[in-house]
Amino acid sequence: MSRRTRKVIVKDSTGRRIIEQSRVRLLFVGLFFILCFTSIAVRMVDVAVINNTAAITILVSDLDGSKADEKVEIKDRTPTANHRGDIVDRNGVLIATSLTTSSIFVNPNEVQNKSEAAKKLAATLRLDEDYLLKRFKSKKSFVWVKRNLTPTQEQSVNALGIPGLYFLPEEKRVYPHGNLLSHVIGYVGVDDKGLAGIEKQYNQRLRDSSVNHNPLRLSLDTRLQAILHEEMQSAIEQFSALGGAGVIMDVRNGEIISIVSMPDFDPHHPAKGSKESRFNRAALGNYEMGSTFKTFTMAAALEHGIADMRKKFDAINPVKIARYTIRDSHPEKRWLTVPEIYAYSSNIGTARMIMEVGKARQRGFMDKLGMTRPVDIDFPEKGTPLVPDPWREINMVTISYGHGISVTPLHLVRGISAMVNGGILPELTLQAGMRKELDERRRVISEKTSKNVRRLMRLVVQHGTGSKADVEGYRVAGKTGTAEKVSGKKYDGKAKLASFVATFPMDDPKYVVLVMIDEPQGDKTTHFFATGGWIAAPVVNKVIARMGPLLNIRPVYHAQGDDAEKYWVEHEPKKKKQPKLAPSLAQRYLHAVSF
Amino acid sequence: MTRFSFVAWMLMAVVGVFMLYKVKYQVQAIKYEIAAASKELKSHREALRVISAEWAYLNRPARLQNLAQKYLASTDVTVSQIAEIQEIPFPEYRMARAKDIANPIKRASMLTAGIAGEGR
Repeated sequence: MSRRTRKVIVKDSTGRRIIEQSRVRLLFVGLFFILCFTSIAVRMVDVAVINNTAAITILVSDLDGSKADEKVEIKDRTPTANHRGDIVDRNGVLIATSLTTSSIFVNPNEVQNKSEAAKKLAATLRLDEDYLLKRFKSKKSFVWVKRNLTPTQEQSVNALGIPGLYFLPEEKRVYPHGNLLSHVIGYVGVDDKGLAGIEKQYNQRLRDSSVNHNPLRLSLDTRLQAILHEEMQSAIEQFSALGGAGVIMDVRNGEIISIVSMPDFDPHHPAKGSKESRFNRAALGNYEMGSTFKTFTMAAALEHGIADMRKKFDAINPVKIARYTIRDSHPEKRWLTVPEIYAYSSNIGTARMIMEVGKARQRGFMDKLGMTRPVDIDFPEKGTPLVPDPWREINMVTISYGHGISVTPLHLVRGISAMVNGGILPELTLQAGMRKELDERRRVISEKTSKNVRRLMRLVVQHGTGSKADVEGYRVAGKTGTAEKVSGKKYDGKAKLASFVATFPMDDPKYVVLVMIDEPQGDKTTHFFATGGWIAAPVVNKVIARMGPLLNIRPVYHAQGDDAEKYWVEHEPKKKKQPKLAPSLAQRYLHAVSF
Repeated sequence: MTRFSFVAWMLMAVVGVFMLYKVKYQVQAIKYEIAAASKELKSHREALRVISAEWAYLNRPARLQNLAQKYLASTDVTVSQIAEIQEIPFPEYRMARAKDIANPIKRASMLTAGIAGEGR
């Protein structure tokens, strides 16, 4: 039998081959499975025994009583709620943050006794009962009742036990400094979307959960903001002004250190503020700046070699252009040196200078200074200058002393920075750590001209209209401005814009400070003058006197670079010389444009 | 031999299954722990946010200024109060060189010399 079988197998070689083949295949499959199971087993032992530090720890700790295993690391995978990012100032002081609050909504279909529920809830949340009832009768299944409740309110609503009321955790934007930074920070809407200011500009950045755990650091300094705010506030109150704008800027890198616009509003409730108070005068408001613009005329004349520090210009008679007459309100009626024209703020002298510079060169200079387009700054509310078109002869002359062109305070501050920092127009920024070196390609005037402009500005403070701004030791240099405001189609002689723009220390400028007060009413202390020299210069003085020590700026009392004095030619007065701060000097400054 | 290996394999399988079971429970326990910890962390973070907002609120420059005026004798630092050490007239100032004055040890000895001098 067996023989036969074998024979068959032997004989039937095809069948044998098939069996052989299947055996080999079976072997391979088996081997494959063994391999799989072995690897699983090995891995199991690996996981459960060898790498099971926790089990071993338990085992070991059972043995020797010790605990804790440093090897087990639990990664922090906290599902943090995506908060809108914080905003801090340059020193890390919190300016804006988001807190979690509860908002309450209702599913009207689930409320049983609607009128009673409305009555109870209205009493608890101090809401209008009819308003609530209307909401409760809605056909929708989701209706907001009140957003951002305080924890106490949440608790008392819970205690009412009304069915159909639900809480939803929501974010509430909080500005600890209140009104202080309202214009620059802006505000958010109820859905946490930035609607103005920095909140709008950096909305994306503040919402992006991959970066917003790092606060957004601004170039602002809350302390200086508070100083500028306080000093301006008191001036506005004292002189019953409409408002004002103030800016402190680092001339070396274009960082805005402080920016104030008044009146201001509460960023928690922007809608409650008036339209007037929400208006950002410092960045959005266009103003005819007045005599502070003479700085640019002086610089253009010096740069183009039309004037030097000793040259004299005729300021005897008013200048007649077309049908207009340019006057000085309290004329010196003599030839004035360039520093005198600037220090006494002579319109006639300035007009004569710009007529030599010419229209084309003035226009080119203003273009280079960026006075004809919005400033490039990381801020959404930017004013577009109002520039005359065409740029006529008369425009050229009025622009030389700051009328007939409207720019924002930021334009002025940036322009003055370029005048004093060695001649380069800085790029403005509100973000810290973006430190941009001054770019040689943005040069507007030479180092030498810049130095001379600083001397001119210093002489304004030493001998001219800006004497009230001087802070001993800080070599303050500046320029007053008293622009007449346009009302209707005419210049209003009474409504004035008093401003003072200063830089210090004059031999190595670090900061530019601008204070602008809108429609101040002079009082006894200012001999009823409402000019830049009487209203704004004292504010700048106080601001600099307070900010200098705060920023560790060392006063130097006889600085070598403070050499403006040698360009001042003492004029022989016909009558007895007036004391330095007597009204006549301020009167001289009184700005008169006759149109 | 076969029986022995069978028993050994079975034993290993039982041990393996038991260990796996233990690990699963450990993982579960740790997961609960993590969840609890993250919940706590979250509430702490919320609290921290509230506290830092409050801190910023209480440290408003205007408020600090008011408090300082009310309770402290100190006032604003004035410009004249800022000077370098060389500018402060120490005793024997005229005789000393600026370099020596900047050196605290020498300055101290100068001071004591000055006091001693007064006593004489």
